Amino acid sequence: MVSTGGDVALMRRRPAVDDLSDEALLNGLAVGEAGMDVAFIRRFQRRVYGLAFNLVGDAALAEDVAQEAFLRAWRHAPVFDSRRGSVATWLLAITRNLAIDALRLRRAVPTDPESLVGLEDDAQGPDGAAVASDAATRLRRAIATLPPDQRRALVLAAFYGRTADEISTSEGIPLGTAKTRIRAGMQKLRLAMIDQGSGS
Amino acid sequence: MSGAGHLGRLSCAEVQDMAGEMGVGVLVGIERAAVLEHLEDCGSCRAVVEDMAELGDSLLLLGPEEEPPAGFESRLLQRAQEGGPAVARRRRRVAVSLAGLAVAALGATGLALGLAVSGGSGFQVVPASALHQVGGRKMAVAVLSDHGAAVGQAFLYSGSPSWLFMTVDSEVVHGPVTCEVETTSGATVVLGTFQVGGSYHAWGSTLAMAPDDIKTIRLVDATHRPVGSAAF
Ligand SMILES: [Zn+2]
Repeated sequence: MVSTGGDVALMRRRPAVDDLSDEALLNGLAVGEAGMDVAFIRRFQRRVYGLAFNLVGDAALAEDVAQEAFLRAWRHAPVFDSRRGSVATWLLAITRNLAIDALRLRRAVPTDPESLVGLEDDAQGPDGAAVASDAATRLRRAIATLPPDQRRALVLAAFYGRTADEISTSEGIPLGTAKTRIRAGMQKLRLAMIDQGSGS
Repeated sequence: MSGAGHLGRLSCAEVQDMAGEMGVGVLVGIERAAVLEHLEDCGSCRAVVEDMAELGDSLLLLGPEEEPPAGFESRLLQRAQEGGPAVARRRRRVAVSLAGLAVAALGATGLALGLAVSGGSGFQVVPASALHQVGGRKMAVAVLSDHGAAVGQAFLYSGSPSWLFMTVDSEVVHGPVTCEVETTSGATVVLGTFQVGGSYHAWGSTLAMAPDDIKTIRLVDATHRPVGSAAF
């Protein structure tokens, strides 16, 4: 994506906050620096709310989950350890776990879990994709090459927190098969990401 | 580590086979405990599992984005303002009373529950639940477990103040954990966050609610993943 005049104007207006890395923003939050909370919300709200909404399927519940995720992230900001992952994945992991919590009593299997990873988006073609989304694009492509049953098991595990045991029950397959689908899916993704020159 | 005992020692091949499930965070109970035990002294498996965990987490970045409903930001800031000071106050109070609590707990449990606190084989030896009379105080004990594997023990004392005390097995639970209480009326109250490290880790907190109102104690990690719970 090419940078537009609008982007430049925005950066001039709020240079300090918009230029901060995710980690620096979280640090600012942790020490109570003014304006950091708003900047943090604006940077992540679409991803946090989007994940919550797509997992729980209800706007009011999704807002509750998303807000709780932000509040927990703020509470835990002082103990965030950047060596164990990025701020974005950490925040999204909190969101997912709260959403799973909220769904605890609903046992229904999502009808189309694979849509969560947006495989259709690839049809739009690899135009001038931004560098930042490069790893995500490669990961999306790697997932698209997985056998459908492995992909489905992987999404049920990674997004819905379903264990192999739960997938075995909901899909009506042996436990060993459920385990194999998750494990093989992850192995293939890992190899694909290494092959494409991205160990991380 | 008694929890992992049922699986025995895992080989590197077995651990790396399970790494995918571990990476997406769905390996639970004794299998998870056995893998963690193996990782304690196997750097190459640890590297594989860390790699898988990073990969598992990065899957979440593929999730769809959506514009939140109008007013999301202001409602969130409002909630943060209401919750913020209360949390800070609670944390301070816990901090100053912690040392005293730990001493008191070790004293009280030392009489009836020496085995549990001093480590060794066992969490299972202590009968769960039911309020008992101990030194004029009512006390309840429950095993903290994660999908069937014992990860520690929680003790509830009713008195003034009432308080909660727990031991957590640091071979199974690592890093900062937050203790939450679910009350019989369905409310969730955050008691505090503490760091699990060393051997058996002990932690305590005073309670603002009556121990009888406590239904479940839950420990969650920094991503709010449940790592242990105890029902009273
Ligand atoms: Zn090994």
